[in-house]
Amino acid sequence: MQSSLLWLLPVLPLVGFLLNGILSLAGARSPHGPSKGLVGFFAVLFPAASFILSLWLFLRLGHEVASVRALNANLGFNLSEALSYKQPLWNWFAAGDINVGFGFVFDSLTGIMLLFVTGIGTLIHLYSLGYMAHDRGHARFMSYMSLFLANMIVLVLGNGPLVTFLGWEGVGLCSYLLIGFWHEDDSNNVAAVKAFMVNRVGDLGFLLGLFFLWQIIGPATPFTYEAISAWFRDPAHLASVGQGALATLLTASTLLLFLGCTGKSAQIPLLTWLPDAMAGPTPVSALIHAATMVTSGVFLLARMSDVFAASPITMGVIAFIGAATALWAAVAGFLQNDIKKILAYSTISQLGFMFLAAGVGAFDAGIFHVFTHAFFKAVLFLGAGSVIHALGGEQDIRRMGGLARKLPITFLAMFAGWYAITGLPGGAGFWSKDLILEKVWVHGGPILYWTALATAVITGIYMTRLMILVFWSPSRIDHEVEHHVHESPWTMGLPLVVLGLGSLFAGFAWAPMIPGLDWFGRNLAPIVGAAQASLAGAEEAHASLALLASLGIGAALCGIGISFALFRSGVYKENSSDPMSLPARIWTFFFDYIHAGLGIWPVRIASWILDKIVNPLLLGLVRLVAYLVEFVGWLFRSLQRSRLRVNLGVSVAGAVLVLLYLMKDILK
Amino acid sequence: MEISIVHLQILAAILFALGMAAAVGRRNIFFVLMGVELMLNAVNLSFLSWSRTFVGRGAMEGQVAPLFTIAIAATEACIGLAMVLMIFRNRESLDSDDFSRMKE
Repeated sequence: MQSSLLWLLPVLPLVGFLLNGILSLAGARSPHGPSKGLVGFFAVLFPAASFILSLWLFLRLGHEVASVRALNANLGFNLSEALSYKQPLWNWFAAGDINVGFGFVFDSLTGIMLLFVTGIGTLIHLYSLGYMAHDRGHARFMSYMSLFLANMIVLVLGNGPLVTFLGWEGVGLCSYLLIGFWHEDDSNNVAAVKAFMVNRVGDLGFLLGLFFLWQIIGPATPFTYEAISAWFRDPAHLASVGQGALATLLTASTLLLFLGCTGKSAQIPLLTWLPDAMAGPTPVSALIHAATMVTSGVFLLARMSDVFAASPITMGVIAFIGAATALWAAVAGFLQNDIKKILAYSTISQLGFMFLAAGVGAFDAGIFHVFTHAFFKAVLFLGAGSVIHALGGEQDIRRMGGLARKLPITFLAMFAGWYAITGLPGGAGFWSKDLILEKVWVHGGPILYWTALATAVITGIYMTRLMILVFWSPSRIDHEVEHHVHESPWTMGLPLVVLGLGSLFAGFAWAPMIPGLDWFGRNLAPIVGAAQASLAGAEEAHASLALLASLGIGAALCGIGISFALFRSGVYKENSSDPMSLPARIWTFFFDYIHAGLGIWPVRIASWILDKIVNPLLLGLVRLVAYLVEFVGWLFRSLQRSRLRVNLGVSVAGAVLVLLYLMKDILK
Repeated sequence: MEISIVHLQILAAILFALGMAAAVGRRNIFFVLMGVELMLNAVNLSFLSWSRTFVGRGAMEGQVAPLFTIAIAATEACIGLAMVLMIFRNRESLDSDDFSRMKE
């Protein structure tokens, strides 16, 4: 189906970006900056318009799907094709055999992603109005945020991997700009550059993966998701990539694409940038580094599920990496004292869950966790931002405490987020995490399952630790700061309430235990169903849903209980201001050390060699040529004196020589 | 001893060599100009003696060419002296080596 409205989705926030960018530049000279009301109006209006448009498109698409299904059922067909709105816009570039079109496609996967990207995006824009109200650069901030949203929409909406790559780079740029937003502090700039550099490595993998993929499918197939999926669903093609050189090529291609995903989604080995990215303002952490951008890796896996499903090695690697990241980051989260760092490691851990789900072939469960995680992690970050805002910039949870009464709205919202992330029954995280655990048990085997379950326990521990130290334990705030503690303005409170409700109830979009509530999975089935069916295999292990769910709840309760016990026994040392102990540092910065050892130092040594040894050699060669020319020039320069007599003499001598030459026959 | 044509040619060559020696060797710009004149007239002499050698067609041309040379030598002397005067006013010098940079 064609739709001519898709281009509006990214263009609306782009207009917001341009307007606020112009306002920011125009107000740069004035002492107070541009009008806050006007900036706020633009900042919220355009994302909201984008949200309403995507909601309308999504509902219309659902309606049309239902009517087409009914028609097909009447005619006796079984409809398995995905229905989507398409809008091919123009030919992007053509080089040799490659002919890439620029266009958008809106199907149920895109729709679900867009709904929470624009919806939560709008709420976080609203929140930023309050959070950044006292900041001189609020117009610049809002324009970057809108630009991010536009790029994220392009990423999700692109009809082919290259259009997605465009948005992929765009969100990376905005992430860089926003991490380094407070650029007066140089450590923020370092964090921004680090995020950018680490992502470059991943993006290189993404691009190389695309080249290999293009090699596999050949120039005859258009480079769009639709065509690529169709190619990989063809049994003849699947057989051809099942063995031989093509199988190697496919493994390389998917592994490289996955490397791109690990960069963007902060998985092992490219995860070190995300904790540092917390240097950005908290709404940025909530929108970009928790809810939307970092989940684009999972989105890409689901989008290209047919490709990944064709390579069992890659799927195994993805599942293993996901589980390892989830466990590692959960432990690292427990070791932090900075409220935003805890949430950052928690994000990495939850992303690990999503990759684990995708790796065992449950792409829909992964996307479902993306969806629920967007709510509860956004509310946790926004709540943390509200706490930081109330305490005037304090981020160390050892200097908080007793805030449940002082900040009731923030506390209730974060409580909802905590309820969801620990996986207590009914919360959003409960449904998605249990779904993942179930799929891991069925398709992934016991090792992955127990790793995931252990991660769930540790998640309970560190999240409860955060709640205890911030809200429930006695106050350890400085008296002066405590005096000024205040609940945030309504622009910050409203998103907290909405997202808090979302993290309690978003999970009911796909509650397998309740009949009829499978809206989410049903919608994703046409897109990832084929890949999942091909992976599921013939003999499917059956497990008792109730048993697995109670194990999950047990893990959550166990984690919470352990956390309270640890608090009682004084392990949390909430009054100390010790820096991290050595083992904790080694665990936390393990991958930083690995990067330093395997990436940064070899490059430094190589560049030292190039700089100090190879460069002088090359320069010497260049200078040799220069000296040679100079010497020859010096030889001839003496002839070029502007002395009248010399010139005359030389010209006469020349004339004589010419004469002698002409007379040579006579002289003989 | 009768003066033969060969003697005239030898005289012309000696005069030319003297003129060239003056033009190249002397630094005073007037001597340079005089050397040039001397060389021109040495060539004239050579032409005339050739006109004696070739009786007939060549005789006339050998007579006419020096007339042109004299006319051109006159204009050359005119312009040359004017330039020397102008340069002398600017530089207070008649040394040709001082005139190595004309645009100054």
